[in-house]
Amino acid sequence: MTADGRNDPTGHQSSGPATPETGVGELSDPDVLGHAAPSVDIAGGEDEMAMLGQWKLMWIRFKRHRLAMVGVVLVAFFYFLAIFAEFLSPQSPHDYNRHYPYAPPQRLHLFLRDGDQLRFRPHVYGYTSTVDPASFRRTFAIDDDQIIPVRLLPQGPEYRMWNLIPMSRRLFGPVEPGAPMFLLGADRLGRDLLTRIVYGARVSMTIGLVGVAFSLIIGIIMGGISGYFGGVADNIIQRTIEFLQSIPQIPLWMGLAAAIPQGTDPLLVYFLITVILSVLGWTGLARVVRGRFYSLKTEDFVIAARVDGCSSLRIIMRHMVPSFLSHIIATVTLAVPTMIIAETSLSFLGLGLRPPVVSWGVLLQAAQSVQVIANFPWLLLPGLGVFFAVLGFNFLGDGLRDAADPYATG
Amino acid sequence: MPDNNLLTVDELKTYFFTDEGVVKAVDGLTLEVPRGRTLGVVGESGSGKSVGARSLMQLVDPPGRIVEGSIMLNRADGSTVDISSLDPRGPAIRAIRGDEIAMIFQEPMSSLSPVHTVGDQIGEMIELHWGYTKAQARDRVLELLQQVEMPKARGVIDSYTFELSGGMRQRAMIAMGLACDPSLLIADEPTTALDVTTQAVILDLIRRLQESFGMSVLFITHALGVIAELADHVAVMYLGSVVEQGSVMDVFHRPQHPYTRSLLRSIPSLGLEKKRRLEAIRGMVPHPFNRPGGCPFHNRCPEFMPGVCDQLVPPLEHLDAGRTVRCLLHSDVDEVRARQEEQAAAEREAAAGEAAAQRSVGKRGGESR
Amino acid sequence: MTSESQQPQQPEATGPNGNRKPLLSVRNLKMHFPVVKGLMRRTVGYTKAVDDVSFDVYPGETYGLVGESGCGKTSIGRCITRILEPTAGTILYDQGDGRPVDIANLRNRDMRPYRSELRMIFQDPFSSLNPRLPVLEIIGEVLKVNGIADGAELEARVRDMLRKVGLRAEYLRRYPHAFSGGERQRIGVARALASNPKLVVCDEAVSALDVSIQAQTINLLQDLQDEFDLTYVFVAHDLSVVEHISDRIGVMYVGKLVETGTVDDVFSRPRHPYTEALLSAVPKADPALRDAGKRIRLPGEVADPSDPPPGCYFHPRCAYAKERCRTEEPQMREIAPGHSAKCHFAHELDLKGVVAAETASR
Ligand SMILES: Nc1ncnc2c1ncn2[C@@H]1O[C@H](COP(=O)(O)OP(=O)(O)OP(=O)(O)O)[C@@H](O)[C@H]1O
Ligand SMILES: Nc1ncnc2c1ncn2[C@@H]1O[C@H](COP(=O)(O)OP(=O)(O)O)[C@@H](O)[C@H]1O
Ligand code: SF4
Ligand code: SF4
Ligand SMILES: [Mg+2]
Ligand SMILES: [Mg+2]
Repeated sequence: MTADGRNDPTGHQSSGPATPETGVGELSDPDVLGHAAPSVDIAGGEDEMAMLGQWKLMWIRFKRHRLAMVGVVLVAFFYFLAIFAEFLSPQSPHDYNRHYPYAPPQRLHLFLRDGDQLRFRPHVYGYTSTVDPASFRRTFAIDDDQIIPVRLLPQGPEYRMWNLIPMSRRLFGPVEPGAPMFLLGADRLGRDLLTRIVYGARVSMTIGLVGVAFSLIIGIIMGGISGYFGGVADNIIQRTIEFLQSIPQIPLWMGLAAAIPQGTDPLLVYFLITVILSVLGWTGLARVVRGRFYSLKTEDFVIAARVDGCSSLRIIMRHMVPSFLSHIIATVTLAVPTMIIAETSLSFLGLGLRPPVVSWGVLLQAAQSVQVIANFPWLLLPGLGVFFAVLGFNFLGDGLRDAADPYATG
Repeated sequence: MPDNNLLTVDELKTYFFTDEGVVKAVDGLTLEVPRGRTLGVVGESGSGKSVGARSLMQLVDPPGRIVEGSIMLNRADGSTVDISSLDPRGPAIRAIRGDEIAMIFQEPMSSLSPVHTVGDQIGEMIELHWGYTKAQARDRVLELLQQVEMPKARGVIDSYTFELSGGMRQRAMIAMGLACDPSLLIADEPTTALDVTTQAVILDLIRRLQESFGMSVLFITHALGVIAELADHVAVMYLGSVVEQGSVMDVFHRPQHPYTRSLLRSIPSLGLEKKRRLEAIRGMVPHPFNRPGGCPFHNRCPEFMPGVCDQLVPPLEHLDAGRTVRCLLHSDVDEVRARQEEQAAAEREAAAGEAAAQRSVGKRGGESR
Repeated sequence: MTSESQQPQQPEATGPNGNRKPLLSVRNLKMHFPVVKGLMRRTVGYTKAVDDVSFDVYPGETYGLVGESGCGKTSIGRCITRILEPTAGTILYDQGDGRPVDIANLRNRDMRPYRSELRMIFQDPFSSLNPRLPVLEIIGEVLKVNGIADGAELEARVRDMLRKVGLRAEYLRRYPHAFSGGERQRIGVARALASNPKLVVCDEAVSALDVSIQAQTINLLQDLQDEFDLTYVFVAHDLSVVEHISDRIGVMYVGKLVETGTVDDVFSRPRHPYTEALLSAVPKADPALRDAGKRIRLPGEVADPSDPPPGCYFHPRCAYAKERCRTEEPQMREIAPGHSAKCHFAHELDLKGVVAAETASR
């Protein structure tokens, strides 16, 4: 059925205004309808396509976009981590082990040599530590002789999933609770970095979403007022947007974040940071929404809805919003990574979230000095999380943007 | 009489190889552009007029490509060149474009640069092709603008195209087309976006310029009226091929192809007896993916012959000098059938032979077509 | 301008339909758009898109409006359907009970009862259909929002309508992207007619269509007019089409009507130099007529409706302009029964019409 142009959601049309294709003949010429029937039947196979709404057409387009599918996988992966952080991480993020500060990453081995037989026995090797007599620094070496068996769903200390459901098993961990297992290494206090990165995903991935949600609400309201009603309201909102956009973003964020007093409740800090991020975030969205309203207002099909007698509300909700909702979603998706980076940067500088909250930015704070990076490079690993999450959102957003208008020609 | 023709296009095929399939935008275009005359090309939307015209200058963008046919240009020095065999990006075709063959478009804004003045844009062409200095080129531009009767030419030469009205832009576009004294000017719907009043003025201008420059004009339009006003010869296009060609009087007064006849009957015309019902052509132009077999017009043709028109591809028939038609009403059906069956058989044989050859080489056979 | 513009004009006291009352009676209609400039959006003037226009449309007829682009044809159509709110003037619409309602001065809310009776067909078959709604909802919207039909009844009516415009009723769940330009225009026609309207404004309804589709659509519009006793206001720039479909026409120039009358009168014996020039510019679909008769070529361009010239707006382009035309604005005057023109010399000038040109050639 791809053999027919009418099917093609990308709309291969000629340059002319009307591209007649197969179709019906002239009215009131009985033999014509009959005559044209075969050509309609040629088109019969694509009935299905003809009846697809915009979301399905967009999906078809989206699926063709390879990078976007990569983006979907990445983003889905991180949100999966964020949602099931308690279960997926081998420890609790605040469990520390004073015997293993800065313990290096271990490798996970699946098979154990038993005589000359290989057995499936997942395990990691333990550490031996030596203390440098001069600097009193403890250095660790992997010790092949200590075998720490690892298993799926081990019994461990009690914890509450989502702060609600009491559970005692995590996805994987050492068979013996408390045995040292640091697959991505440990930090200054001997806390498992893998655990903390997984928990960090929860904060870092949601702060972007919440920030964007705030921006979205303000943006749609302001942009809608500006675009649909125009006039004085439009003038004021546009000037405000121009003013806000002319303020350099980073210093403004830093200034506002620095104004949050020390010792504020971490949850409140989280909330305030999202508000700070959306102070500027909404302006871009408002512009997009306003632009769409403006161009749609004069579209013939919107005028046709007015001729039909639709109320303003019905015109907006039924005829205008669906036409740009997809664009908004794409724009929003592309705004999330900015927020993630913003949170990371602020927290990294100590202006954003603060311990004990765990976010990627907070984790990266531990890797601020060259010395630490040189000696314990694994502390940079949360940066990889940021990198892949941002990449994923950008791929996804690009794909959405390309698919957003399945009716565009070319 | 090939020497009378500036350009002879023979069985030109330009296909677009898209993801969805092959679009045969131009499929067997045969045209003769007489020297110093105006050939009007008329057809409905999607009939391949623009793609055909762009093919003549090797301007088809990928995934489009000329797959077959020849475009013989008889040059001023007596030599002949086949444009279809030139490399679309090579120097040979670039020397022809703008210099020997120039093109003007329906929407002048899309082909004029908004960041250069009218004078600079036209002047650049002249500097490039004729090696003029800036000052010489400017004089020539001014002369050209006066030739296209541009109001306030001295002011326009330094203005930008967005400052001009629709009619003035089209004049600027024509001046650019004429800049290097081309032997062929291709005009793709240059008046479609204009008001009737402006259209009339521009058509007059093109006619006058054609006479004074002595060039050939290939004028593309979907409006039969415009053709009747302007052209000396007419080619009627339908689904990628020319179905009828001849002098304007012949085609309008003695149309031979059912499509031409229907078209002429379906347009309202000033001063005709009132309230006559228009004789519309039934159905619609099929999408090129759905190109009907046999005669491409057969599912809309009022003179459709069952068992003939849907099976045989009408060959080009020469009725008179310069008068051709592609309709089985004008062909010896039995002979055409015999010929096409023979051809089909030969093709089948060739395919089978190919398959056999492949088999003998050891590859899996039977996959050819 | 002169004080005359305040008193209602009475063109065509007797219509061609004898003493039938007009369905639509437009008087001194004005549609002025503010021209805004600068950061503060100061109004620096007005684009007089429609300026003091009066005409009548009788039931069952087709009233054609012609003129170059920018003359205000679309604006008139949009005032009638109240997409635009006219600046001044009245549009009396006869509801059939003898009490005409002035739709020019209704509030948007009070306009609702007339929405299903005054409909519109658009020019562009692509942009006039919402690509995100299936045909059923596009055509059915007017029935639904005006409480005419709903549910199964609505679907039945849409099916019926589709059949009437020559589309298959099964198409009603398809989206517009599955139709060609000609088919889409039929959907547009079906939408306009679904609510059994009295008056349909066709704004360039066939201008964007291909030759063969155009003929089909014109025939369709005429058949439906006969079947439903419709009245059309037919806006177009193609004079051949207007001549074919209209009973009476109005010729517009820079926001004003300059000539009105029956098509035959206006086309065969134009009384305004602008009409003559328009007719002369139409390409004739017969090469034998190419050099027949006198050709009039209009120099220059349509005047700017926000800054029209003094006197007769047409004088900078008029071949017959005299001193008087530069200073004094001509009045609309009846030259012959039912035929009026707005030119100082309408009585004296011997202008060429269509038939004249054709007979000259034979
Ligand atoms: N880039 C392209 N890819 C695929 N198909 C194309 C492309 N360009 C043109 N076509 C197809 O080729 C056919 C001929 O197109 P063309 O633009 O030549 O028509 P035309 O006769 O100039 O029509 P119009 O009157 O609308 O300008 C059409 O069916 C069109 O859809
Ligand atoms: N919404 C609008 N705002 C401002 N000016 C307008 C608007 N609509 C039309 N105009 C102006 O009014 C004049 C008449 O336009 P229009 O009625 O569309 O003419 P036509 O249909 O005859 O081409 C034009 O100069 C146009 O620019
Ligand atoms: S070949 Fe047959 S179908 Fe084609 S135009 Fe001629 S009569 Fe019609
Ligand atoms: S009033 Fe004068 S300028 Fe105007 S149309 Fe008549 S003759 Fe021409
Ligand atoms: Mg074209
Ligand atoms: Mg208009």
